[in-house]
Amino acid sequence: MADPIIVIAGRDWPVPLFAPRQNRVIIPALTRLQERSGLRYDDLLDIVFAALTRASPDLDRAAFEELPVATWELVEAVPVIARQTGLLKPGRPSSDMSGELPDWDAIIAQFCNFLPGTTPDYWEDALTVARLDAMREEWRRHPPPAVLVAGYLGYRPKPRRMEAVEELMRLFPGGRLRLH
Amino acid sequence: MTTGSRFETRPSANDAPARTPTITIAGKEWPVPQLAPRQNRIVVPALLDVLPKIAQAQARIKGSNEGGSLARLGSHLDTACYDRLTDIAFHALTRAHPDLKREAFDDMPVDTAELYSALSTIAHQAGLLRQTKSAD
Repeated sequence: MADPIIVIAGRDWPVPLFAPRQNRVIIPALTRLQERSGLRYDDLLDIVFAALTRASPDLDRAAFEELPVATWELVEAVPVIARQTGLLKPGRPSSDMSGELPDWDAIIAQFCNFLPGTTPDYWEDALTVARLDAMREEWRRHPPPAVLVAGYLGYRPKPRRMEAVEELMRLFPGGRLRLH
Repeated sequence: MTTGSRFETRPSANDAPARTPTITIAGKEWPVPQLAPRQNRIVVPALLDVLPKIAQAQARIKGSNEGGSLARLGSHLDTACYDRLTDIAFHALTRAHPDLKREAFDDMPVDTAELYSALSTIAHQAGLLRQTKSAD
C-alpha cells in the first residue's frame, strides 16, 4: 500500500509508518496537543518536521524553518501523522495516546536481546509499531528460547537496588521496624 | 543529497513576485511573502492572542457609538497588546527583509493604524486561512 501524503509548503511529502526516531518526538508532542487547548505552534512544527524526516532524512531543521509553510497545512497534516505513528489503530489500548508513552529504549533492548545480531541503531530506524505488534504476537505464540529456558529454570531477575528499598519502605511505611 | 539547494526557499525583497501582497509600515510598502516557520512561530501565537482582543475592542467601540476608526481602536488596547502587534509586523517584515533589525524597526514612525491594517494580510500569509483556488 502506498504511503499517505501530506502537503507542506505546497509540496506533496510521503509519510511512511514511523520508526522510534520519529515516534520519540511525535507521540509526546501529539499527547501535549491532545491535553492542552489552543494551537501550539511549536509542537505542530516538531510533529511535522519529525514526520517529514522519515522519508526525507536529509531535510535539516534550518531549511525546514525557511519553507513557506501555511499554518493550515500543519494542522491538516496532524491526523495523517497521528495514524502513521501506528498507535491510533482501533482496538489498541494506547489509541487515545493518553496512556503511558512507549519506552522505546526498553522495547529496542528487548528486540536486540531476542534477535541476536541486530543493533539498537538498526531498530531505531526499522521498528514500526506494526512490526512491534507482529513480533510480540509471534513471541506470545512461540516464545524466544531465552524466555523458555528462564521459565524452565525458574529464573527471576534480581531486584534493582531502588526496588529493594521501595519494597522495604512499603513494608515499614513509618520507616520504623517494630519487633513484637 | 544537498539539502541546502533543494529546500532553500527564503525570498528576498528583490525577487518578491509581483503578486506578493504588501503591507504599509512607516509609510512604506513592504512585501510579505508567505511566511515560514521561522516567522510563524512568533506570528501565529501572537495573532491568536491579539485577534480576539481586537474583536472585543471593536465590539466595545461599536456598542458605545464612538465611531469605528482604527486609531480609536488603539485606545482600547493595552501595552502588551501593542507589543504583540509590533512583534507580528516586525517578524512578518523579516520574511522578505531578513536583515531588518528590531532596533531599527522600533525607531520607525509606525502609525498604529498601519499595524491594524497589516493584520489581515499577515494572517493570510501565515496560512491561518486556507486560500481557495478562486481566491488565487
